[in-house]
Amino acid sequence: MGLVDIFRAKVVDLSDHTLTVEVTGDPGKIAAVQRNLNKFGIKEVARTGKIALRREKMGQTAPFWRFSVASYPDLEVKMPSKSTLSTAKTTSGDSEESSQGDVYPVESYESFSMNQILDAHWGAMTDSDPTGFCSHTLSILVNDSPGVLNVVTGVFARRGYNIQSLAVGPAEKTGTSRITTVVPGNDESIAKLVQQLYKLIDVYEVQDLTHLPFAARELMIIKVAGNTSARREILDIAEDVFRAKTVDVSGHTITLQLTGDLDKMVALQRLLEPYGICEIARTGRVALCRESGVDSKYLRGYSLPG
Amino acid sequence: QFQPSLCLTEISPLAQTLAAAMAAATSPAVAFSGATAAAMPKPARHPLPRHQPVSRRALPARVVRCCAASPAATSAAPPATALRPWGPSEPRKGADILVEALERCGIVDVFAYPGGASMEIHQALTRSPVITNHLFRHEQGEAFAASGVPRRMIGTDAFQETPIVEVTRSITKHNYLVLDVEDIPRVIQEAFFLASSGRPGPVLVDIPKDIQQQMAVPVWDTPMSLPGYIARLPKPPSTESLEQVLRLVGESRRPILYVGGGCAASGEELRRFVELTGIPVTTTLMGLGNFPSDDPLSLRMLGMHGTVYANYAVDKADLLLAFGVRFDDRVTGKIEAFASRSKIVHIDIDPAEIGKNKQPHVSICADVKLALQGLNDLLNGSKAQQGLDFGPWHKELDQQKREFPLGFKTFGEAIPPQYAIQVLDELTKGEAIIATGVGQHQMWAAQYYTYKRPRQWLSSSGLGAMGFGLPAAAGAAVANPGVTVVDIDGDGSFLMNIQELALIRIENLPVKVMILNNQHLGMVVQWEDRFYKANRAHTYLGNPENESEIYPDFVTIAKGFNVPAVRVTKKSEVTAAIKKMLETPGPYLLDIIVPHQEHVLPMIPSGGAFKDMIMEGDGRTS
Repeated sequence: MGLVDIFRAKVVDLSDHTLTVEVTGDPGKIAAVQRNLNKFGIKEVARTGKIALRREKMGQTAPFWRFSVASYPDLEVKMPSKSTLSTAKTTSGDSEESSQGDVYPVESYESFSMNQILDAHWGAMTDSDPTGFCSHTLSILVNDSPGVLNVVTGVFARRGYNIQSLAVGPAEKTGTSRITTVVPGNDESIAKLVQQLYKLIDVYEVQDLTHLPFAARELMIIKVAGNTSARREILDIAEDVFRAKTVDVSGHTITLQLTGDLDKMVALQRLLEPYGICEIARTGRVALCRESGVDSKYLRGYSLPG
Repeated sequence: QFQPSLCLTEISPLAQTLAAAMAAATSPAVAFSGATAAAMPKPARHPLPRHQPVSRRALPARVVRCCAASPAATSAAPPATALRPWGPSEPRKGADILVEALERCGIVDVFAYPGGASMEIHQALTRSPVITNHLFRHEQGEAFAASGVPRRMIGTDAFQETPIVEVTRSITKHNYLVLDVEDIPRVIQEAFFLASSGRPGPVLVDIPKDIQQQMAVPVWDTPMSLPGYIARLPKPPSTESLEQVLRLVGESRRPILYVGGGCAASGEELRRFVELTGIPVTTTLMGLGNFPSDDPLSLRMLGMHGTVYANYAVDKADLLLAFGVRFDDRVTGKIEAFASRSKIVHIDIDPAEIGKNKQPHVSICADVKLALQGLNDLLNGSKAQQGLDFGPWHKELDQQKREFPLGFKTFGEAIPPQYAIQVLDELTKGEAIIATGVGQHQMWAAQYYTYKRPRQWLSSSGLGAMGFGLPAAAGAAVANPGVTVVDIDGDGSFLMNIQELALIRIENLPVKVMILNNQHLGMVVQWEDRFYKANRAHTYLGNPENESEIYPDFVTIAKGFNVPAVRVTKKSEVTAAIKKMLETPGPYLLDIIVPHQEHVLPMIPSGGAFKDMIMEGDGRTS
């Protein structure tokens, strides 16, 4: 626990024999954490890749991010307000009779919905859908060698599964990596996907965490436009409410780092939108099974409306 | 017992190399092609300039026991000989290590095409006392020509740099890029093991030229490192699940066996199972020969162009025993209507196939050979087995066979293609190995020839690669010396790999090429007639300025290759011509002119059900 404090890590799950810890930082810090915790015996590791945003330059030559009035309260500049579009398109086609003239049977064009890619909420579904169609979180342990990620994502692509989120990083055993990915589907289709993944020689293990209690986190670095006058408000929201950390400050921007689950990311992004978001870098979701068995889904209130 | 063979071509027309390789049917085949894929630069260990392109190999499947796995053969590393002047613990080139590794896996035949990329390997092959090379004639693409790509230019999209491992990733079971010469013995062992275990599939091994030239002392007993894969290999089936299957058999009145390519190694066990139970058998295109088609319980092929009685049986059955099949769309048509009245038992070695297309009621993920052995042992002499009687079902199916046999019409002296195949069947007594291209001739060869043993039928079923016939037949002839091999080809498919006439002539392989020449792309013409109002869209392969002459003249071309060739145009001459073809030793080409208005029947249109079956009509009537 002392180590947890030193590294400013957080404990996210507790059981009789295990402790699940979340820690953010640069690769050097991560290496140090792993080295130190190795003494106790590391059971499982899920790591994201690195994300990065350029630090803002200061002074006259710094780029000016043109955004809303809220980010520059003392300037009387009229800016066009940024509106978020939600485009959920549905297309329905007529169902065709079994085609007589085609070499391959042509299926009827089913309706599908599209999510706006740049939406903070990238469409992770919860189990409100009656058909059981929701976002499944998969944790795949693979051999760490060049091309393995290509092989794995190739399976997704060829079988027509969409990847909503992807995070890859070294796992607990040297020579292995853990791929954490979020894929929409129902239980049956995901089970078929898992079977296809098990055919790969480089895959050691595949776990569908969706219906098990699991701890999931994402990391986001977000650069918000705001001059000195707006800074206090932004920091109030970010630091006090969301426990985000400031990692960079300039004359007209603030860069914040936030770790948490998807709903927290979405909430912060929505709240900061009026100020004008310059840049965002997000990792994919990393997740590990909760040994404690506590299902945190039921501890939360409501999930945000999509 | 298994004769492994090896295939090396200068390029990777993987379809073609795999054709020959696959056709060396009872044997594991390994395909090489010289090409210029770039290897990742290896940190500093090799001071020599690395200029050369890489060569690659693909290993299609059959069970291979690598000698590295069996201690007896390995223990004595051979002493120095005149050909190989190095002692057991002296270093030799990577290419020699490779060739030695292949010898230890029992490879005797290689199909290799040299190029700058694979010169080292070819040189090493000349030093092998055991391996013989068979030189195919297909060089595909100047992109794979012999000049090399310097190592420092790798990753720079340099001339002729081709990432073959990337390119073939989606069509192989697994890929290897060898970056360390010490890895060669282990990689070869793993490659053969992967190619032949579980669900067999091609494995590609990419060896950069500098690795081929690097000197090293091989360590032959390096163990394989495939922990996840080996742990996931299916276990032998449990007795409970087998008993469950037998219970279902006992309760059913109209069972049927739906057998596919997965049973290729289980011919004996399948025959014994049918003997014990009396269940009628129908096979897929891949499964032809796994159960003898002349057996009274055989319903021949099912599916889009299968027989009426086979599709009838599946439609009316109350128990479908699916052994080694994948419920492909060519077989099932409309998946909801396929076997809609039956309980489904699915035995397959690949867990991803079970429940993929059709949900079975009972499934066993295991080697079907072991499953059949288990079932036979449980049945043998048991009371349940004696109680099995499907008499009424057999009578029903026999009636269907009488009412709807396979048949064709004759028009004057024109040769019906189906008739030609029937005559071939009679004259060879159904014993020849048949290879085909893709198209109408392939379907007729599947319908009208009798296949009695596994791996007698060689065809590109799922992939549907035209040009498969001749190289496949050549490979089969190499692997099965003394057996007649006939390539039943179409004029379109044959033209695609016509250069292999050189191979069969030079090696004097007893490959008989029987071309069913209708001057058109037959299968497409059939669809045009049926669904596109006979609008010919680039399906005529003859000379439009002189339609009465046969074009191209395969007889003259064959004579150019020094292969004896004859054309036959009248029905009355067919028997004598085929007889002469079979009696002439060595390669032979018989050009049989057939009308293009013939259609393959019966036919269930894609996405259709049994009730949609078409049994009448051809290009003359519509």
